[in-house]
Amino acid sequence: MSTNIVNIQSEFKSVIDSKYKKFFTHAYIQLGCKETAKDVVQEALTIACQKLSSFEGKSSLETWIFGILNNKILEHHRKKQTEKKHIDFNAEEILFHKNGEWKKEWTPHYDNEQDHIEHQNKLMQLLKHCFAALSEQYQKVFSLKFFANKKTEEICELCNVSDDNVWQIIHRGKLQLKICIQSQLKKHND
Amino acid sequence: MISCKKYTRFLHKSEITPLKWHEKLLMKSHFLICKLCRQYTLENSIINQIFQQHQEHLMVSDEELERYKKELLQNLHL
Repeated sequence: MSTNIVNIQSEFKSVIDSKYKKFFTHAYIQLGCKETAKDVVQEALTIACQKLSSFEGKSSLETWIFGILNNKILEHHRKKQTEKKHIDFNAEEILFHKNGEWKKEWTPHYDNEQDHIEHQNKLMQLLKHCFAALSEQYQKVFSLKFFANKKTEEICELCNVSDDNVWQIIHRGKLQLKICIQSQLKKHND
Repeated sequence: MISCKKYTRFLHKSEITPLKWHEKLLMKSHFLICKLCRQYTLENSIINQIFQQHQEHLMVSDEELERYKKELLQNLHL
């Protein structure tokens, strides 16, 4: 019995050793954020390790661990949905008049800043903040597009949306980011 | 002539999928006559640039993954 546990533990260790990257990449793509992916993976693997004695060998150890990881990812998505009120509004209606012209108060303006580097840093911080306020689905599409440099077809497949959906998400997301950043800049300057 | 709203749709769409020739033409002609949209185009490219720089923060190197793995194995006493 005890040799059995020792065996399964050493098998567990070797699966983690060889498949860690696979687990992480899977979680990262589903979650769109490095820190969250790390937390979720560490938590899932810790739980898997604690539950090793209940592993019955009906599937491979790797598949069994993937099951636990997927549950954790789902749990995270569910928690996020109830926890966080993300920005969800019609950005076009806010930024443009009915005839499609820019509203004066939103006139594009981040380029007038004198101090370029300081301004870029501030913008980076604001962008981080505003990006976190986008809905999970938008964050996922944005991170696949801009951080993982995925092709449009791959984004469609991973997010289960059409290519028209992808550009609409990018369009609405970019406008939402503009509204968020500009509101924060205004708050800062007032 | 297209509106500013339509222009921004084309601009963002062009990042995802190639535009049709008439869409490109409509976009270009609006760009030439609209100062605000020229500014927005610049603004958008600044955001894209920041995303690009940020990418390194977000992409995970093999060394970093190795560190995460070690940390986990240590916590699990394996």
